Amino acid sequence: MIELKSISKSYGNQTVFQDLNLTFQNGKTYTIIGQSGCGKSTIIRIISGLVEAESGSIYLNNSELTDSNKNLFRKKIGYVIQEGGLFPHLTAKQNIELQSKYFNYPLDEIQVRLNYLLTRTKFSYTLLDKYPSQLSGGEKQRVALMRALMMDPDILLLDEPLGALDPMIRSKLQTELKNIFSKLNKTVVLVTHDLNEAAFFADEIVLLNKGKIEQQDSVHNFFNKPQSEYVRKFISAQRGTAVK
Amino acid sequence: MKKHFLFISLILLFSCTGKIDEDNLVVGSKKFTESVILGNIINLTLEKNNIASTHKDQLGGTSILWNSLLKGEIDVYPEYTGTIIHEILHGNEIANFDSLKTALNKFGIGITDPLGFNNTYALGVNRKIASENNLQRISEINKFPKLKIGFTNEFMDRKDGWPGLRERYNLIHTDVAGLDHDLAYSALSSNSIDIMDVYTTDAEIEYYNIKLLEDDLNYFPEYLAVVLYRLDISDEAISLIKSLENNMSSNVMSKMNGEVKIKKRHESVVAAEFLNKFFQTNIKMSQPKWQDRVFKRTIEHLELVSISLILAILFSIPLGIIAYKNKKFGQLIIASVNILQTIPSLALLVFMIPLLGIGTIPAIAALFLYSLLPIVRNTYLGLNDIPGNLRESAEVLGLSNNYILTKIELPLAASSILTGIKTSSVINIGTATLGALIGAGGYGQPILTGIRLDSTMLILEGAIPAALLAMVVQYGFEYFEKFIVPKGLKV
Repeated sequence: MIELKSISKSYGNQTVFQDLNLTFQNGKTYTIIGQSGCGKSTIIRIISGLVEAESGSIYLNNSELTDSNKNLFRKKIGYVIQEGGLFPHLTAKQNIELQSKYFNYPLDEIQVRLNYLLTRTKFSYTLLDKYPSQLSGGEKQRVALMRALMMDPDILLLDEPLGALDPMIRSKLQTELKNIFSKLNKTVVLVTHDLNEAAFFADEIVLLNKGKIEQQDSVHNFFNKPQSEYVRKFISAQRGTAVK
Repeated sequence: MKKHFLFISLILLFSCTGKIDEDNLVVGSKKFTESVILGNIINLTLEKNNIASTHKDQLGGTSILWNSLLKGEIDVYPEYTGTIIHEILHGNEIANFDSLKTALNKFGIGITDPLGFNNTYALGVNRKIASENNLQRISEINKFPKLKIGFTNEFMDRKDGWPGLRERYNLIHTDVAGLDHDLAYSALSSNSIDIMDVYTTDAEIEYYNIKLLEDDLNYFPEYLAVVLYRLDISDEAISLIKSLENNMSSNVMSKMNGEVKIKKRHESVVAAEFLNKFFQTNIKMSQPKWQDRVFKRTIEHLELVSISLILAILFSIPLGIIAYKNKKFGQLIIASVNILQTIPSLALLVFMIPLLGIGTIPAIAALFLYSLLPIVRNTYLGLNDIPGNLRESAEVLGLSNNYILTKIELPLAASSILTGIKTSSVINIGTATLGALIGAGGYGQPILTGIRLDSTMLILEGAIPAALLAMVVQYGFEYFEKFIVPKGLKV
């Protein structure tokens, strides 16, 4: 379980959050959605410790995130950054194994885990020795996902994981990714700007507006019982362009 | 890996500092032919009597030689009484030769009696212009305000040079060009200038048929050639140096200058002939082969470049990393190395002399400082240009800062850093040719000699290998790029 309590954050004189409270339950998939600049990426950047909140606290399974235990937390968090963030000078395999090797995992366990992830993500063995620049967009995303899952974290954070892909591949990957999430049984927090994608993945949707939570609800309630005028407008605006 | 580099460069550094041992006498000479010949004569005189000595030739002007003598960087060098009185001991009252001796002794410096010739300054005029205008005396040149004057840079500033001359003769000429003494002769013969300063024993006076103007107000003092030496050298060495006293006439000196400058014979050969003829010695010197010279210069040049570059790499990469990690301090670092780069390279070399003396060490220090900027800047830029999402990816994996730096950031910046090293090495190889001016040898030596002897061949003997070396190093780095820059960045 991830709890954010009274989080405040601003960049310069621009306030992102004021007293934000948010809870993510174990084993569920959440999608955070909102217009650009609403602070949706900042939430998962705060959880992963990339960004520090000015006040408030973050709890992971009831233990508080501090500067000193940041790196311990990170073993429990898998993070897929925008555009994958694969290291271009390392092969797919080196990218995936980097963290486990750094933390001195036994080599045979690394091998077992790698095989498991390859099967889960349907990633071909033969591509393991390729460099990121030799892989397609979809293949790169799978490598980024495997890298995030290598240490078997409790939590998986994804920041616009499919943002840079073309629509055909995107829809195929959405299905695969949802499949993987359902088998992993992890707490997943996915940030997207696309309501259809949010609805497709989510157990619960969190709609952010200017740093405030407009509605956090199940997909059904979100669409059928919008709690504010903003939610209604947001839904109808996105429906206008969506082809479903 | 880094430790090995440091180790190797320290060994190289010590090997070059240890080259001149304590007992070895060092003879110096200025960067004009007569001084180089006299330096050779002194050196051969010592050597033939089994006193170990080395000749550091063409070390620039009076201030470099005198200060090096005081510091013990050199032990002996030929000088002129006029220069000692008006330049070195300027301000002291020197009535006669004995008071000159006493004044020098206070510095721990001894002086021989005059060697036998007076090489004073004179003004030389293109003979055609002189006869067309019936120009005979210095006092007459005010009648010709349009005459183009070109003086040696040293003469322009010397207390016994142009400022005093202008005052004594009330000269009205203000437009005076400063140029190299050896280039002035060709400038005069090609009518680029009409009047120049000459040394009266210069062989070119006869060769170029130059008319010397009469010093009718007796401005120029005597410039009797003497030898200055440190009083702490052995008595045997002193008495050998003194054996040269009163043995050289102006005529003999002028002939020797001609042998070198006009007939292009090597100074050591001319010096040996002089000793064989007047001292009944039997020294055999042969004109050095160009291959031997180039080989020697290559070793010297490589020593300058490799040590300074290795040290620069060892310092610059960490400096670039610090600049990247700490932006405020970083700006200070980048600004400082930027300022270093704006100092003219020749000035930087000369700044090193009071700190480190002459020779290889100060040249390496100057080249080291000069090589910093491109590497520091490219290390900083290479690291700074790494996309933010890559750095964050590394951070969220929980990797330590050191691990991120060595395994992620430096490999990603490798190509940029290598480009910086490449730029640095090419600048370094070119700038190292100036090292010859402070006695560091290298490819600058033949260039310097070539300018002095007006020999294009000699200039090329330094310039071509320097250019080739720069190309070889450039290609060498491009070859190494294959191994240093990670493969993933090139596919």
